Amino acid sequence: MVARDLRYVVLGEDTAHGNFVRRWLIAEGVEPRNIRLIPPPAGTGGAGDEHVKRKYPEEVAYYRRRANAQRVALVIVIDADRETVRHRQRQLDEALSENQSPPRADPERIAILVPKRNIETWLHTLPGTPADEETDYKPLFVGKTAAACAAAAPHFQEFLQRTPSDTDLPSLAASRSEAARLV
Amino acid sequence: MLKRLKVDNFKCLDGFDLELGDHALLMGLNGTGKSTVIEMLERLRRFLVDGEKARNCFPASTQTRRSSFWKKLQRFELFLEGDIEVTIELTPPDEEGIVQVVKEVVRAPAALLERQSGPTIRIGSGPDDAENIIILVPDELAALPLVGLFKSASSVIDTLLKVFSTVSDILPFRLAPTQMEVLASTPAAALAPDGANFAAWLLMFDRRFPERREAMERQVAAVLPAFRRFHLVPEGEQFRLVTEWRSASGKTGRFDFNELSDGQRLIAVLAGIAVATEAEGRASTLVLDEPDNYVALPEIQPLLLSLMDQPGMQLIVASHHPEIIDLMAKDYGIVFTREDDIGPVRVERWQAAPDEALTPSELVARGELHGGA
Repeated sequence: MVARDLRYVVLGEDTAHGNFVRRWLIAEGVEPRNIRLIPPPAGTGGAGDEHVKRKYPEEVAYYRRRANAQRVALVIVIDADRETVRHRQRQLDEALSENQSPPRADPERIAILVPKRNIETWLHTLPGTPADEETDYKPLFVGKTAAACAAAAPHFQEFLQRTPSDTDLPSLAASRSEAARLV
Repeated sequence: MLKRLKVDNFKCLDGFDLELGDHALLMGLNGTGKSTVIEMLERLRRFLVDGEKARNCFPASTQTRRSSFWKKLQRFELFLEGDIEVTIELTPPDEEGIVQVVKEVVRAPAALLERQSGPTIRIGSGPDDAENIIILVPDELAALPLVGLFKSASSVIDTLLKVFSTVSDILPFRLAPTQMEVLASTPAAALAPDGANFAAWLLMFDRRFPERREAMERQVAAVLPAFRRFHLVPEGEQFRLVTEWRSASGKTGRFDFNELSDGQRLIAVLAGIAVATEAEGRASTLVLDEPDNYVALPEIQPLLLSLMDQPGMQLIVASHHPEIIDLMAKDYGIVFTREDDIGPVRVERWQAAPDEALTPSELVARGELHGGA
């Protein structure tokens, strides 16, 4: 259960990332007007993850300037692709370090969601279809991501409240501790 | 849902062919025909849904200006979800301004309505149906809006009624908050394209969907947090539309609808449309011309997303606003250009290079308004 009274900024690689998080936060009871999606780049190729890495330090700085006085939160979504969840998180840590920003601290309401292989893996599996983190499910969702995000987001909320299981996809399991930062 | 639109000889739309997806953002420089598409849909709705005479909907001023083929037919083709096609051909106005329907064909699975010649309309399950019904409809009117008058309960009529309903669900709006009235006398079944009769339309909404009023008010509050309720207060034989507000600190206030800002009125009307569409349980095509005109910057993204969230809603928007471009261009952008600057309108899908790191609005601001970059 995330805090409903925060103003959320969502930074994702692509429209689908923003859509998914927005739908999830609404399912959690956050008012839509308190969710700001950062526009993703126009390119449909590999521009998205670079965009997240480039914008991340700026958004962390924005968050830190306000966090003491305002109820704000930052949610990052970046696909693991063929890398690991930890590798992506480390890349973001490095982006902060290159900007002379301190690393993310425990009490900071900055959540980093790293779907593996990509967000489509979560969209595929959350409604109940078995999936693995190596297959690329993107082709299943061409032109359908908006509807798929709407369908999957409430399941994500349920997933976060369920008791962890050995069968959970590792990237989804890792999202539990990230969502817990948003209380 | 509108899947494709073909138009000949309507202002700058000639040889015009527009394919649409789940939503569409009509992009382009000024004068490239975006608002003309919305005007054309508005006129076509008056003709095909409201049953107005062709001469009122398509006067000479709606013809494409050309030197050599001035007297060309106007042609409109709608391709709708459910394999529905509607084709209309109209003569140019004669000396008395009369516009005649020379072709009206409505095709749907297992139903065909076809104007044979003059006022004769044939209705049946297909061209070979031995039990065709023949009706006479004056050649200044469309036959489709009259299908509802049939008492027959045949499957063909049922299908044509569904076609009529699908065409009715295309809702072009050029909302004008300054025209929105505060008083209503009788309930209005349809909201006017400029939203002027919102109060009267709300009276009807309350009769049809009283249980949905709260959802509408929540939808307004999703964008305007202090908004609480609409009240239709009796005043003689009329009703006054009053709004109730409560600030975060608990301060309350009531304001007449015409005391609200243009943007607040626009947001209220759009919320009404969205909730009514959901309450009807039908897929609607909402067509909006520059809805950002009156809306504050922080309200644009929540407003557009709340409309796009509505199940079954196809949103078609003409806009130059960077917020809307960033929200919609990448997935739904369609670029409008004119052939040789002043010729007919041509359209193509907006697309950036795959590795483009700038946002869509920044590219557009730099003049990159072409498709398929």
